[in-house]
Amino acid sequence: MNYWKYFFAMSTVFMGFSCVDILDKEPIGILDTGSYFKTAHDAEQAVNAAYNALLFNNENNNFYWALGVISSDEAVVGGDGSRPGLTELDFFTFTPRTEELNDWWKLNYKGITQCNTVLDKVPAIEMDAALKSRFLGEAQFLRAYYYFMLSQVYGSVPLITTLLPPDELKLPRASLLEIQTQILKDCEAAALALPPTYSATSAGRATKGAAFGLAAKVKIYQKDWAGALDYIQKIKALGIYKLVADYRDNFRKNTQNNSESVWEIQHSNLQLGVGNSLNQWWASKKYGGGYGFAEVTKELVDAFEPGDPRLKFTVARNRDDYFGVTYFASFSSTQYSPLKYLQSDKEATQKADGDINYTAIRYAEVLLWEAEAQAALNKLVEAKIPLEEVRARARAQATTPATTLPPITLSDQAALQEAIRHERQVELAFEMHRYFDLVRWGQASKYLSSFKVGKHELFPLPQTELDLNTKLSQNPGY
Amino acid sequence: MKQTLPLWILLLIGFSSLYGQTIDILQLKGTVTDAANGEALIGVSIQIKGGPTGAVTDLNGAFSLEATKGNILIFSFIGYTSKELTVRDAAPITVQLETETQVLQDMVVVGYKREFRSDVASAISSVKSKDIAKLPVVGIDQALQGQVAGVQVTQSTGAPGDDISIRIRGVNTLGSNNPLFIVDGVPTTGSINMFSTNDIESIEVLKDGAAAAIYGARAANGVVLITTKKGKSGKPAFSFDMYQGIQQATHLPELLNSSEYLLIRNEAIQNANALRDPRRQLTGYDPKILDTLANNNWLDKVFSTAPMSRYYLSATGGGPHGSYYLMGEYLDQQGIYTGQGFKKYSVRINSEIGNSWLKLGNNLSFSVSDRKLIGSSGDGGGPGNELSGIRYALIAAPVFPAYRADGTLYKTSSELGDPSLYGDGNANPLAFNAATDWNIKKYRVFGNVFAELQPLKNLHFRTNLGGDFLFTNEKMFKERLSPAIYSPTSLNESRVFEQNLVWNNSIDYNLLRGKHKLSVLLGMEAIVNRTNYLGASANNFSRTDPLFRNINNSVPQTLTNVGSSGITTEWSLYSFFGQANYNYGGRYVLNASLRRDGSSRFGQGNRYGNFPSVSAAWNVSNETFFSSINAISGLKIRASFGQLGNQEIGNYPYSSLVQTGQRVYSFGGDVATGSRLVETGNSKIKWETTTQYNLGIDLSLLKDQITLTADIYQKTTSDIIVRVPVPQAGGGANPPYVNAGKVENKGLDLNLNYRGRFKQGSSNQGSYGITANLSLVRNQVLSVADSEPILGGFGLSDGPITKTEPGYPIGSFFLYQMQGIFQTQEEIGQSPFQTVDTRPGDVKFADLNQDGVINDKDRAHLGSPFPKFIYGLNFNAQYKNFDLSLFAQGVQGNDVYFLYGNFAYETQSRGFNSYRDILNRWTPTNTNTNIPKVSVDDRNGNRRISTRFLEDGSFLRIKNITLGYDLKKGLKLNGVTAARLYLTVQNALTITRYHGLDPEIQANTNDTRGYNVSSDLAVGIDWGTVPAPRTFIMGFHLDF
Repeated sequence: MNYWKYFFAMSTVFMGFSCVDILDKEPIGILDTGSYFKTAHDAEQAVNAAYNALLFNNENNNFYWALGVISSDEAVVGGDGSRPGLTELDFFTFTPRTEELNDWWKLNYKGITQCNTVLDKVPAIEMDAALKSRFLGEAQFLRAYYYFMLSQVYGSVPLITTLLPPDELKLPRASLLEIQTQILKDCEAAALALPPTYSATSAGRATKGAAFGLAAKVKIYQKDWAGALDYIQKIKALGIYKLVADYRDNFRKNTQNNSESVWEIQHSNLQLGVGNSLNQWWASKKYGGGYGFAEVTKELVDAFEPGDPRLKFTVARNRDDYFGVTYFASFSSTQYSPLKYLQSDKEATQKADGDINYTAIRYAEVLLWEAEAQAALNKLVEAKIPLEEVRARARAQATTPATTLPPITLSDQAALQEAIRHERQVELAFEMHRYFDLVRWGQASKYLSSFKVGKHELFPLPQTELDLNTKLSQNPGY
Repeated sequence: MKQTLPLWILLLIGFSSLYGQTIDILQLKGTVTDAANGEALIGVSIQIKGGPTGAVTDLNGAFSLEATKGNILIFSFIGYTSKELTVRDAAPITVQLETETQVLQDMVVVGYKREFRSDVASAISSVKSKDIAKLPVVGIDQALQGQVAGVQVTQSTGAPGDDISIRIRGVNTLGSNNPLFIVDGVPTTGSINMFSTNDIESIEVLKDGAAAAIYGARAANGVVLITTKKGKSGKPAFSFDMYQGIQQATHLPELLNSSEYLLIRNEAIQNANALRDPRRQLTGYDPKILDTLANNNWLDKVFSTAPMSRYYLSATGGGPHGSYYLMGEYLDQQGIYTGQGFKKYSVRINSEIGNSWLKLGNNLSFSVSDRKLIGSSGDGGGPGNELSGIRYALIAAPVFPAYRADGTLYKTSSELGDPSLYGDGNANPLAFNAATDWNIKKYRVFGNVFAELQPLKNLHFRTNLGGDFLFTNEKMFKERLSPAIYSPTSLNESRVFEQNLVWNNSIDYNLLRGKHKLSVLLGMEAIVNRTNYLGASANNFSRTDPLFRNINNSVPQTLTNVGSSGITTEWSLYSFFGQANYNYGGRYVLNASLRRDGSSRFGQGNRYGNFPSVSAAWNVSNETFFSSINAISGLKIRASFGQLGNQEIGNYPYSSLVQTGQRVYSFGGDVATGSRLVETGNSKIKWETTTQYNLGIDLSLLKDQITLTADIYQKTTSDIIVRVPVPQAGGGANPPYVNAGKVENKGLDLNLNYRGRFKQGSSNQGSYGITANLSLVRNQVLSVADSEPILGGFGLSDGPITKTEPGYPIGSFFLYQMQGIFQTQEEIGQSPFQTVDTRPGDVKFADLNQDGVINDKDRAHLGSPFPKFIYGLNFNAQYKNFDLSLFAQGVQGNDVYFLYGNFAYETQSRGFNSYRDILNRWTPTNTNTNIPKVSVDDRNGNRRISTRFLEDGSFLRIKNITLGYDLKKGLKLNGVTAARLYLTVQNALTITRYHGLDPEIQANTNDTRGYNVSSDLAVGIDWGTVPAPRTFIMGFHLDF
């Protein structure tokens, strides 16, 4: 008998038994949460990612602009109609199924989750205490900002302040007050931890001023005027903010992050996904591949006082210079196009990748809050000082300053309040505040014919989310 | 086991077999006939006992074979008793075979070895090469369609080379439901359309748990065993086959022409204006402008008649110690949708060499496929409607002109201005086709080398080393059409190298003592898979003609324009298995098996799973008391139980993964990187288990003229592994896999076969056979984790279309119910409140929860994507020189969500076309209709996800009619053993009430994107697909 036959057979079998370690396959090239969050660098990387959801880049589908601008009386929907949701936002036919509203929900919770990741994981990292505190402060501020934007759009939302396992995510809506209280708490903590300024290479990170600014804004929304004034005082006390001489410097590439910038969303034109796509979405269809999604209304143009230079800084009209070409009325169905956050094609090689920042909170707005709060408290003299500061800057840029934008001298509270609101409309046009302002002033139905009181103060929660989380309830009227 | 397998070893073994000649070879010739009628028997297998070689009789019953003196030849044929004959000299042999009463004496591949069918106690269906060789289909997957009871094969779209889904006995799980394919012992879950159907010797479908349990970990969805052709001993035999055909689109819907389009559009504007703010009125169109407008039938422009052809050549031969099989095939199928196409080149070398105790062999195939694509269904990969040409063709307005005045193509409708008339920037379908250059090339080496050792008569050892090396090269060039479509001009290229190595060893031992027969098998298997991805992309090209579509031609060559990416993943399986079969006197059969699998995909504590099975059979007809019953020639009763696993869950489901180095923001004008949690892990994830019970009966009547196989089964899958969609408030990281719930499939598989003969007096003029199969499956979810339903079908922002929860099938449609059309304002007033803008002509929805308001609480499970039953019908006949086969397949009682109805029966604010059926919309004078009034504003939510778009998806399709003519008898050609001319019509006729382009629908990626949930949660949602073509084929087959 050939015994080696058996030997051959058996040795192969034993070879087979010897490869038991083949089951140990570690993820290649990807880190898991167990091995991550160990160093200061890991912490910084996590914090950086918490800023991502702020961007108006292509990936984010950030429709804050549509909610603030298209739904308001500043602009009508233009473009090619390829986003029916924008039409719905303009015509008030939006529903829980409107895609943009779902996108907005997702985007802000993506930001919140990243903030929660930082706040959960970074405390355990051994690193420089001051830097750690700053990182946590940044995350707290950003979380507050995301929740604020959610509350503007949906009212109350589920409040998640820690990294929850998926099976604990089905939470009911917290009350609006609970959300606002959390925002203020985060702002306070952030203000303690954050520096007033950064070196040039870190420009754009959340600052102490930004935290105070957001807190002030919440107080304004709460109509807690005295509370708002407290925060505004804290902003002023930092001594670093003042209006820039040229209004346009706030919207130009090389003069961004200036002394007027309290909280500014940063964009870079490097075709790496962190650019500003408003540069394409808002640009006229007749200009280098613009979409023309927001077309300026005549109502807005008419709202500017005669000679107000901010009109030509905000709106392109027939025969104006439009980033190096001549603008014609045919460039838009309304004959007007917006100028803010847009730039010349020479500057931005890729249309949807502009590098103009979004001025989320400008010092001019802080001044107008101050005016609004003082006026609400019937302190008309105190209200007119910051109002005049804003008007004076604009006046100085007028062709004939002597006859343009005269100081407001009203002594009637209601009339002054109206003047301050008007000032907000023209000073901050297209800065995504108008719709929310009209709602909080209770004036939306006056300016927006399709607005239904009792319904459109809030947008509907997305149907997809309602289905995924049965504990949620819909806003009234939807 | 190392990651690379030296290919040259495979090749060496492949060619070595060609030199296997020894001395004393006799060239034997002979014929085999039926003892009953003297008729030549075709396809009789002649095997040299104890050796690897053999031959098969040709159409005249003739064979030739090389053997040595003293060799014993075994003649065997299905349905006939085998006969043995000792070789004495080279004189011609004439053998007569007796009909056997037991058809069951057929060999089937079960697990790691072959068995007699009579010894099998589990549910296994076989498809033999003769059943599929005559079907001119592209891939093996297609060939299985309608052949086997319990197997549902669905073609996702009619695009050449597109995916095909195979479901065996229903849908078990919420994850992957693809069966495991094992080709010559090498497992793969990948596409099998690269293998040639001509190469198939047999296909076995292991349906029940007991049959598949030996494959354990990956067998829960059933196993399809494919055995390729082996060499036949004797002088070289060649086989040549070629066909040419033309394909055409059928069942295309009729769309509105320009004047109808304008009429509907004006009416829709008018109806919208009635409810609009006076400041926001829309203006209609003067019908006089019709003269200036185009009138295009876009479907006619994108569909055309397309050719298809195939050439095949094989050679087989060998001596007493070795045999070989060589094959080459070329297939070219162009798409009926312009720009699509599929080409396949494949080569196979199967060889064996050996003596009485050792045999070495290989099965080796090399194939190349080259596919040209234009998205063939749905809405593309994301925002911006990219990549689906059919979508553009369906929605493009008839008034949208194709060509500019200078003869060049319009790129998009936005060039024309008015989005509400011409469309909103959608691509000109022709320009879209021209701007898309998308190509996927696959190179695949698939095969194994094996050694079989037989140290004792009853002891058999086999070691098998298999490899599946798949290299995929994808190139997608998209030339800019508009700022929204394909902007900027870009090129994406990727290379994926996937290597799958398998090594299995098995020993089996047979013991025969009187009436007791015992066989035992023990084995191990190790599988290692490694996938390497490398991708590069570039934007902006100064020249876009084909020669300049390279990464190097992008301008400028800077980091901002050119990017790259790469990743590697791995997984592995390590298993032991054992099997014991006991047979008493051919009457009682008992089988048991156990497999223990370890998978790298699970965390340390949950790595191993045990999968047992037991099956038993009683061959009643072999009992003595049964011999008097003449009408029943065979009866077997089978019962089985088996447990199987599933591990198709991604590679590292137990860990939460962080993606680093992503560009997330910029500070101070410079890009900053960041890291994000992208996957949420679940350390507790464990094997999913399917338990299946099967009861079957095999019955043959009237000397096997009629055979019937029936199986009933119950299959329960527990601890189902699925990503359960979580609230978006969780931040959008991929949700974790969880063991969520239980699904049950109960069903019945029925196969009925009848064969008969055409007689004229006592002489046979031909024969015919009818095979029918029927499958019933009832799918039901028994429980889900946290008792929270799982949602699916997220393609629309309207919310999910399907809901999976206990008491309903997987992916059951969850919809509003359309009750009819409101006829009067009074009716609206008396009905539950819908919206303030509801008017006569709007859809009336049912208030299912009876709270007086129509809202999202009024949705219910109102449809199922599962058919009540599926069936196949096969008819074959041979009469004199003619042969005819007819094959029909049907699906009955399933629902399809006609999502494209959103366009077909609606007038969008954007200028999109509709079906002509929309002319029957509700108007005050046309009230007896189920199409609501047209309006560009959908204020009542007529388009919401409701039964309005739910249609009966039943269909009966005559898949294949083939008529053949045997030239051989007439021509008497020397050396030619067979010559046949054939004509085939594929997809000859489809009977359906469904309004989409093709009732054969699978899942669409639009419904799963962004949520990473299983496509089986969104089956039967039709976004508009390229239909399967009707094909006319003429072919020629020659054996010599």
